[in-house]
Amino acid sequence: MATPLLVLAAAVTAAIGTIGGLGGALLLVPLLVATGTSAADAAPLGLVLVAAGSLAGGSRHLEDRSVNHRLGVTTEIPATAGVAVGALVSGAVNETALVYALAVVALGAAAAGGSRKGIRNAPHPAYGIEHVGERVGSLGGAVARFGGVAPYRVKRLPLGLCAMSVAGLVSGLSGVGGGFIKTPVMSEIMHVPVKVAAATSTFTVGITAAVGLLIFAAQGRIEVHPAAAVIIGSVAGGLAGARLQKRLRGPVVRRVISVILVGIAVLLVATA
Amino acid sequence: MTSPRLAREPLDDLSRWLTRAVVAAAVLAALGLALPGQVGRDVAVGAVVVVTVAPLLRVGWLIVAWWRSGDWVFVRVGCGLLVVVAVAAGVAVFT
Repeated sequence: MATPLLVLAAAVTAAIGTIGGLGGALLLVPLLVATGTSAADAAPLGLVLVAAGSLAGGSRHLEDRSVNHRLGVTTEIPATAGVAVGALVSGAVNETALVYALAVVALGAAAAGGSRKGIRNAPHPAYGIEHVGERVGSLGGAVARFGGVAPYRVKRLPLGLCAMSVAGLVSGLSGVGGGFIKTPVMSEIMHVPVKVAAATSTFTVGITAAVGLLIFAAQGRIEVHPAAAVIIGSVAGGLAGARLQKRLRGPVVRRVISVILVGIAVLLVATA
Repeated sequence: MTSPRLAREPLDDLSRWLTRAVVAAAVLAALGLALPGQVGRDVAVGAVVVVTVAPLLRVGWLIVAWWRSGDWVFVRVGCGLLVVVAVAAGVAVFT
């Protein structure tokens, strides 16, 4: 793919990925493969996109205190362990079956988020803007939303951690960031507000991508000039996506994520 | 209801640090594409290094901040994550 087009593709996919905390590799990699890049070369570029988009979106998420670092670091432990296991067994897994499994997961996550009505974590009258952020020694916190500030607590932590290990396993098997699983897991299983889930997922997929890139670098599989083009586009897209996410209401973000996930599922099946 | 003790890590400092990393990555990537030959390649490698290392340094920064605020549970969790990351990368590279 020509460099200007690669920059543009990275910008668009990183913006979409940052809005939903999905990373964007699952959008960029099939696009690159469809336009002639080999799958082996496209996978590292997907992780470069995720890492750069995560970095670019980070500042904005810190400014509005929507990212929950304690939750992110906690959930990333089983996810990273899953990445290692997935990378080890990736050679023994049927690729077509894996792609169809990813598509089913994406559709399931889309249905879970898209079918939910209303708001789980409603604004609390006793909470003001000074209460926004994380809590010491806790996975809970409070997030600013339209109409006030909503406190939240993480629910079903053991189930959420198990699901995160599956997200990591999928990342290790397929070479994507796994954000398309992590955001719905935090939002729908752990009952974290969707904006916190998306911001926290954007933070954690950066860590997953860093681990993957270390492995690809050791294998000499990173093409640096296309990677530089992806970084330029991803930085622009990540900044734009984080800015846009701040302006959207939680239910809108949830629906946007569901639509993107359906698109990802269709893309996966079409390229299988 | 959540615990009343609000975390007070200096996230503005982290935000400024991340902004500098973003600018550095973008500038290095642009120079990497603009400069010819090996010099351009080396500069582009620098951009990839920045985006790869930054998330891990962010975790290290968080561990220090949590240590300073006395949040020992999450100091241990953060250190555990870095150990898992190192083991995962090591296992994947050496197998």
